[in-house]
Amino acid sequence: MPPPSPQLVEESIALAFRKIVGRGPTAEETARFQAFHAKATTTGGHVTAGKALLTAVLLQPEVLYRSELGEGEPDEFGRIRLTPSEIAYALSYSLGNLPLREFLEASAKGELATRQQVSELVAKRLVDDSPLQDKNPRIIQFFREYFDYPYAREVFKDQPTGGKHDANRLVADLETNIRDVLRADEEVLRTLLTTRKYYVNANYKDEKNKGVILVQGHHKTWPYQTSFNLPHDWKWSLANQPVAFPKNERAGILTHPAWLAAWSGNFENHPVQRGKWIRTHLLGGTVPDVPIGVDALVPEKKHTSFRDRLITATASSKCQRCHRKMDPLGLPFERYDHYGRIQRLDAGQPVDPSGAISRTRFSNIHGKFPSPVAMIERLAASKEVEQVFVRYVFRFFMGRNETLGDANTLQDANKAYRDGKGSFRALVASLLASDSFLLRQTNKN
Amino acid sequence: MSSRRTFFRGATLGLGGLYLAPFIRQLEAAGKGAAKPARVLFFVQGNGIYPRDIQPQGIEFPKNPSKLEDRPLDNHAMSMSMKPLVPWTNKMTIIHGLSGRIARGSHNSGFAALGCWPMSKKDYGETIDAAIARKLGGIYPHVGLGVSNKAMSITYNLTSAGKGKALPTLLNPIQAHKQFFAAGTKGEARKDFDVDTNLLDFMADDVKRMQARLNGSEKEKLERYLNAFESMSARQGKLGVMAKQIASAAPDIDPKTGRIMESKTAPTGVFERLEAQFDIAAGSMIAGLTNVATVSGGAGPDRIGLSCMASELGLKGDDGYIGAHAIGHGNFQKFAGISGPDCHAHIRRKCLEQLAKFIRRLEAVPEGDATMLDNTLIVYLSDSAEGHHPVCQEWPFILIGDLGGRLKLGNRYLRYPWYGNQGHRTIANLYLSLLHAVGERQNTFGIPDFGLGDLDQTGPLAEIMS
Repeated sequence: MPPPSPQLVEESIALAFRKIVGRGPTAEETARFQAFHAKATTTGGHVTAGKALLTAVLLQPEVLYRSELGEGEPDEFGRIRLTPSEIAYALSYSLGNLPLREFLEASAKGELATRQQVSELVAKRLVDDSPLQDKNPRIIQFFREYFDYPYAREVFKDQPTGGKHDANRLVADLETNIRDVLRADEEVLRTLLTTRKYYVNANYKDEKNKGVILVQGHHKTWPYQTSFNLPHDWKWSLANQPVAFPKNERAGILTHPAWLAAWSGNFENHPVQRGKWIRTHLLGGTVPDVPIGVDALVPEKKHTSFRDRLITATASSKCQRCHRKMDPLGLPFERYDHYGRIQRLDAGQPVDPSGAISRTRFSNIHGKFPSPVAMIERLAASKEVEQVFVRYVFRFFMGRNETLGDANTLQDANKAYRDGKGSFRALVASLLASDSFLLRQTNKN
Repeated sequence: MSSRRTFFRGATLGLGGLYLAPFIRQLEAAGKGAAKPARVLFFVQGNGIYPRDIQPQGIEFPKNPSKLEDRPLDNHAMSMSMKPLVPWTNKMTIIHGLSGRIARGSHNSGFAALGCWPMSKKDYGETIDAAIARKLGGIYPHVGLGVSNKAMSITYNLTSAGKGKALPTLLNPIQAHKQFFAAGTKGEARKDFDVDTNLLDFMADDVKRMQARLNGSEKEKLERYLNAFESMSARQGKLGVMAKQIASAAPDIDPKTGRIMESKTAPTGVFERLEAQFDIAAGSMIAGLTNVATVSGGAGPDRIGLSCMASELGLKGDDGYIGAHAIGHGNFQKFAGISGPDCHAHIRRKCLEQLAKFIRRLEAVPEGDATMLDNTLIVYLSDSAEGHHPVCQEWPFILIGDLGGRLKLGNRYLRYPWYGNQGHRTIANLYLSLLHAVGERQNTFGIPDFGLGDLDQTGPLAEIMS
């Protein structure tokens, strides 16, 4: 094999960069890689040198790490803007798992130069009319991580007598609900928290020649419906999906068996974890982890309800410092057993599903509630809860916690969500076109 | 056969002296009876070691023993599969009765076999071979080699240096040879080695250039990447100056072993590859490249042991494919006229024949007042404990050597009280003994078996500590 001409080497470097790094090499890089190739050729001949050249491109830090270094001069606050191609990649990976052609093309054409341009492009990308809502997979991923219902699969449970616990199915059913809400894109959080309609054993499927349609999840799942307290002789039909439940029985995700099972133990409910979730994810509070040395165990006691056993176990003032922030929020869910089915009795005692919201910065939502549904209604109607939700969306899409400097971004995002009548797409578009997303603080101030 | 010590003395005349000086001092000291070198080879074979199959004749094997049995091995004839190790009976220790329930897997335990944690946790922590490698050090602290019936050149199956830090097992002897001995070769292979050196320096330089543009935590992230190139680059430098010594220890490997075919009708070549891998393990120890090697014979999470053609075992009769899974499942299947368990024993014998060659190679190299073998410990086990579908209440181990007298091993048969009985011990206790022997005095290893309740699972096996 004859040695390659200098021109061929240069072209190979350019090709390797475009294919592997996703951009052409700079003049400085071309020169450096040419020099490396020349040195390697002297050492080991041009065949080995050719392989080494390719290896060197493959091992570029840029291949393993996505860099967001920005370019240009810092603004008055010491912030620099990401380069157009960095923005294209950042947007792509915010919404999916692959570089998206439309963003890369826009970056090449210089159409990612202003906030307005980015915002419009993202809004266009977010339009998704498929019932599956899988065009931008990271959107539903946010809800998975925020509510953490897929964890139901990890909680091992024995089968209940006379019933059937199928965590995979529960998670799939809840996602059918979430997909509907995302497609409608109206009052997303409120609908998710308060819907009375649940899919039972029903999922969207892309069928040949029919497109995406709603189908029965599995034919042999009887008596799976008992997880939702549907009777043993209940018959599945397309017409009764989603199934409407009485207003006072359940409300939204937090009373869906998938969420309840995800936040439960192997044998019992877990009011503490449920309360902690509401405290942190809806009320924006914090609760420290269990202190080292505390044996967090609710003692067994016959003829005593779980509620009473928990209250006794955490009665001391040392425990109460944290538990008063969690238990009153989690105990209303004693209305359901740890499989997520409604229970009237616990240890032979009538269930007390009352609870309270207190110790928040939003006194307008404080109060005592007779049932989980009443408490959730109050939370879902709160503007402050919505703001906490916006914070969590911010953290997910920025990949970091908010700082004081992000106040404008958060306010804009909240306004976009409100103005869009609870549109999650408007909220995401606002975040991805924000200064927080497009600019980086430098230490050159 | 020249002594390594004298050879190294000669080498100090060159540039190598800088790098080798500490090593030579250690070797010379060894000759005077100070700290001797220590080396460990783990041979992990898939598909289980049937306890009765390796039981020496004339030693009874009662059910659920309640007392420790400790007796000499000589005067007892070895079973068919153990015959290749007979010449080293006075260096051999068979240990029965250790349990490893925590690691229990269905066909194999993979990392868990050397790590003592639930098999499903995969590379959950530091395995025993990696722990010893960390302690003993070396240019390559750990060398992982193996054989698989699958046409793969690398796998991550047994060794991990920490959580999520699985170490590779090289499955292609030709590639492994190139990796460890390229510095000692001439011609093309050596050129590749030198170009690699260029490449590593270029990359380190490139990463530094990128790093200069970053600050804070971003800089730290790249630091690790940079360290990797710099440490590899430093290693290239050391290997470069050891070229002569590497050349003298590098084994000749049949190029055929580099072609791995998946076949159920033609010879699989597993034993030739295993022989080559043992050669490479021996060569890398003799060259002073490593002190710890793990050789895998069809072990690991997705493997069930070695399969081969009946003719490759030297069996007469109808040639046919002996599938490791099939022989694990019973007596009723006949291959070349013999039953599943017999095939199992023949495969072990063939594997141990290769191990014997490794032992001979070390034995031929003088070191101090003795040979390299005397300062080496060979640990033979299956990652599938006592069977194809193991219960792990009894995990057999065969040890050769005593690690330069650091352990009370050799000519011993030990059987510990049965699972749950007073005095019962686990494989973690054996691993702790090895750690204590190399100076790492920890008291627990891996995750304890909660099924053993109050039984003491801490500390080394007192019976084998010197």
